[in-house]
Amino acid sequence: MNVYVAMIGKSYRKHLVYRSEVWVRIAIGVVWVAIQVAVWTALIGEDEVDGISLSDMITYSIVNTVMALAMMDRSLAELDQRIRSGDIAVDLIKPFHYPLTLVVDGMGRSLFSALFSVLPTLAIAILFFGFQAPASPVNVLGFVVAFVLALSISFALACLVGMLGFYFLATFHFQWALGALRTLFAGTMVPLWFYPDGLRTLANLLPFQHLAFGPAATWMGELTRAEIGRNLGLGALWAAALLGICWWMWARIVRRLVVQGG
Amino acid sequence: MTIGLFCHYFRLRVRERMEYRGAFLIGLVSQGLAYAAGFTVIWVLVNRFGTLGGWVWEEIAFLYALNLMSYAIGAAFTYSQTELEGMVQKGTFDGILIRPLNPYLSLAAQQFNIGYVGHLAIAMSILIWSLGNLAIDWNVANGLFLVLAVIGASLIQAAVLTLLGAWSFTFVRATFLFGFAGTLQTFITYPITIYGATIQVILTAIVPFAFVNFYPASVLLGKEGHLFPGWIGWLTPLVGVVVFWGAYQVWMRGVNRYQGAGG
Repeated sequence: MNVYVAMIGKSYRKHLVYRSEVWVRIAIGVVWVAIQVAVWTALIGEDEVDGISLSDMITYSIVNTVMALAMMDRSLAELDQRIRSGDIAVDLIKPFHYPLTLVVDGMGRSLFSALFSVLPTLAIAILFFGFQAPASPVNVLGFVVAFVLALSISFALACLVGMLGFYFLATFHFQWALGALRTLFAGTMVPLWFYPDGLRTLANLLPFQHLAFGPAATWMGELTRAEIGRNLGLGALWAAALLGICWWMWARIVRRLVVQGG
Repeated sequence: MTIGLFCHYFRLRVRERMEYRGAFLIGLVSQGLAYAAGFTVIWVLVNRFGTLGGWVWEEIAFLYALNLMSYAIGAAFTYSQTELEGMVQKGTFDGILIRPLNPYLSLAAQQFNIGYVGHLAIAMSILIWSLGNLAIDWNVANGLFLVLAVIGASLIQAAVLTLLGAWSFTFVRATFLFGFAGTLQTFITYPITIYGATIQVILTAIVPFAFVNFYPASVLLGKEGHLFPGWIGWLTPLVGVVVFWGAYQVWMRGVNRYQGAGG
């Protein structure tokens, strides 16, 4: 266990090397928020649409941008290269559970981005654009749980796509396809309550809404307590199911893995 | 000689890429999905509210098509600039320098990315659809202008990537900047009049992304009343040539001062 805690620290220090590039990540976050604020200002202005005001949408955009920055996870994107090059064999020889080392590596990275890009972006965005406090302590608690579920689902999806690298030469197309589904159904940019009915129904059947729309709507108090509860329950089911599939796939793969080259 | 060599490298590159036809096609499909998803989200947004900053959905789609099309054309030749960092670090860039062809052209041909035909097909479809639904009074002048504007816009897109590539010669690390350029490019998904004056000035005079789609579209759609007079859209081809020429000069200067790194 101590080993894994130490790995978090190592991963954090590894990313610390890139702190000179942190301002770019902050700039990207702030520009994202600025674009969305301009769009919502043009669309909503002083009015309210479906009971949603401009200040609601600014908060929604900031929460989502910050979550997206925290989830920018590339540690699994390189899995297919490690498989192709044969480096994966070395990873497997080490006396650790390899998927767990990926989780731990991601945690170190998240710690780094939390301190160096998420918090500064949040501070700047709040300073420039304003921010609504959460509706109640229940919403904060709900948001924290929803965010942890979002991180788990995001990791599980990336892991599933990464493991396709054991069956296919490259996984970048699957990453694109996954990105497409996230773009369309997570509600990162446009909240699902503005979606037409057909797309909304489809989004509700898929896990992607738990990555962005669910946590943000929970924070804003746009959902009733019953809805928050149901959302978290569904999110937990998705997280458990997807992580379970990852685990099962991994166990199968390791048993039949044949490494060439390297 | 130069043109012949350029075409020769170009042909070799396309044949190399076509060797893995299945992977190439899957790549096109998945990329198409990614763009379709992004486009659908913008549709959801504009469709829900009717107009955005006074622009209707067909006009926003036209902006999208111009941006994607010029990016596809410009980036097909210059996307290799994003790989320059790795080439400089590994020393493989030195191989480009000993070719009997101008290093910029060598790189453009040898690393030509044919994968952008997918972008081009999507952009073409959206362009034709949007033009079919927009009441533009076509004549020879504005037809010719549209073609020249797309070329100018492609040159602007190529210039931005070229400048960032030039950064690799001096500072070696450049990849993180490409992400930022991509983020700046999302500004022009929407008509720039929705932004404050500062951002409009930046997008017009400093990083002239507004000339990629907003100004030429304003000319063709007869839009008026923004920070700058509407007629500057006619300058798009000229802006493209000037900006690209400037970027090329900076790049060549970078090559001439290039000392190699690692290897």
